[in-house]
Amino acid sequence: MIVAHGIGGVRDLPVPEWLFFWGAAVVLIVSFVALGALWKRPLLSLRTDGRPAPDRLSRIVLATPLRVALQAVSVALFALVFAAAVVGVTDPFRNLAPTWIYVDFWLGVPLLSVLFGNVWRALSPWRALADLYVWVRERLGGEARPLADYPAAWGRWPGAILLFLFAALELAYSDPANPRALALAIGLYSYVALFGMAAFGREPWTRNGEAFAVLFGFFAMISPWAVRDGRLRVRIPFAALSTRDATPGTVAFLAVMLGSVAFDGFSRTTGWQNLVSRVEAPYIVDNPRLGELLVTGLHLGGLVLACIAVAAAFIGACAVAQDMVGSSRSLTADFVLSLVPIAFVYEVAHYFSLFLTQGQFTFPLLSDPFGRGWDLIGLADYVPNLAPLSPDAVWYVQVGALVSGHVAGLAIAHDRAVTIFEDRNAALRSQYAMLALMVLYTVGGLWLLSRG
Amino acid sequence: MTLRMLTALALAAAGFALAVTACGGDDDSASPATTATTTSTTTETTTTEPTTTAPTTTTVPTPSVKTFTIVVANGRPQGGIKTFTAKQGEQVALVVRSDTGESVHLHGYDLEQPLRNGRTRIVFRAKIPGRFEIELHESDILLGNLQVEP
Repeated sequence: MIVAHGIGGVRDLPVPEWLFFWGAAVVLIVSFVALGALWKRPLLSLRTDGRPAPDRLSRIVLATPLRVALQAVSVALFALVFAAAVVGVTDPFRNLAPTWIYVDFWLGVPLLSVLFGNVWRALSPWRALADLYVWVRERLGGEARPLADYPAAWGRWPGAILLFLFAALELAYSDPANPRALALAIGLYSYVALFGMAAFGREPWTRNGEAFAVLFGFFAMISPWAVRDGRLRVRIPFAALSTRDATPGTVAFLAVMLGSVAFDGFSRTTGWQNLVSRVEAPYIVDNPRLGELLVTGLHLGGLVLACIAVAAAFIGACAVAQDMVGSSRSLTADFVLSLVPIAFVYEVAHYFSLFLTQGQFTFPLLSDPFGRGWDLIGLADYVPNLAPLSPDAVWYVQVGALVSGHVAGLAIAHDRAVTIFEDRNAALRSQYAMLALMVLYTVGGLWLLSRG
Repeated sequence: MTLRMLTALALAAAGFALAVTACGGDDDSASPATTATTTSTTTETTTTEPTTTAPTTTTVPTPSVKTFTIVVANGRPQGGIKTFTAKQGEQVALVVRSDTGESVHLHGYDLEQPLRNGRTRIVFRAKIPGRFEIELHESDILLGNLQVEP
């Protein structure tokens, strides 16, 4: 089976060539206009904290009852999805779990995070369970203390590895939408998430090891909302990304984010499909299991290569930038967060139409989560519109998203450069390599969308 | 100074743009070639199919049925995985001959037909635009892509 997105039967038509060239041309023109015309003094990095939001709004949004209510709903949904994966029918299109995980969760939460900030704090079922455990423990007069301090040297590596494993399940495993496989994955991941929080504390593990929390946390940095010292704050969107982040494993994490989406696009090019077909064909009749295993290995190799390529391009560009300004310290920590908007728009460009089409199946599936012919909320007969948008509309959103992400990435890297280099010429020189890198990512992304 | 730098940059940009268009152009010349071959084969099949089906069925052939034929030997579609292109609203016939597998499945439209004596034929109207995978079940081998253009 050719794995596409984990689930979904309709795929976007490739972006037509003329639009690809227009997109690429706009990217280049914007980039060079930007270099000459962008601000000379830091704008974003001075405003990463934003200003306090109105008191009343802050109190409502951060009210404990609201959070607890959301956490309760989240745990209930988690239990439902897990149950569907364990006991529901194995047809992925009649079971709630695959659509919920690969569409609603995987694409919906990033969107919520970008719009409303770090919503995963209230929506994570694992965090909710951990909070509940600590609350009960303290109620009983005990104390919930982590077993160990989180080793600072690990940084975000555990998160990067776990995110890679999720990407491997989605894009390399031969049957990613199989509910039973998902049940196993949910079980294993939940164990790791709960164990991680028990071992190192809820906050340290959430910040570094809980792959989804780290991912959604990055996306939330795009949003205008932040919470500090229990207060809601408003800031310029993207401003939080104009900061230095020297946490180990951050480049690896972002490389997995970008690389996995890029590989998802690449794995659907005819060339790759033919390669897979050639590898699998000799075994398909006599030993299909072996054929499947080989194909999974091939996909896994492609996925690893895509992540390495993304990371190598970034590290290389930072090294060139460092060389051009004659800086003594590495610049990767300074520029790494400028990749976040690019990672987000990659996701949007590749998955938003899947979200709109396959996402509609959530209604009938919630009504009949196990595929047993139930109709719990009266929506079992809901008929999705499989073409809610015309192909042109899809193309424009895709190209528009990539170009906007490019502009945002450039602006952040630029702001960072004028923050760290007093000399404006040095700041400009450090940007040539970053600019080339982002042009590479964006035009590469456009190219993948224009392939069939 | 800044002006010189900007002109240098503009030159670099132009060079890069050229390089990108050139590489894009290469890929272009490659991709139309492949699409050209697929369309030529599809037109071949569309022209040959009515003549072969018409005498056997002896009924009046429905006009403008676009027929795509996939021959599977040793677990692989002959000639590699192709993308078959149809226009939205067209009547499409998908003919598969295969030495393995039990049924043919068209994603998205979610049509599945069992293979009888290693053959099957799926006829439908291409209402939904997009790209759809054509798979052989149980083995889940990819046979090709159907691309429905608006």
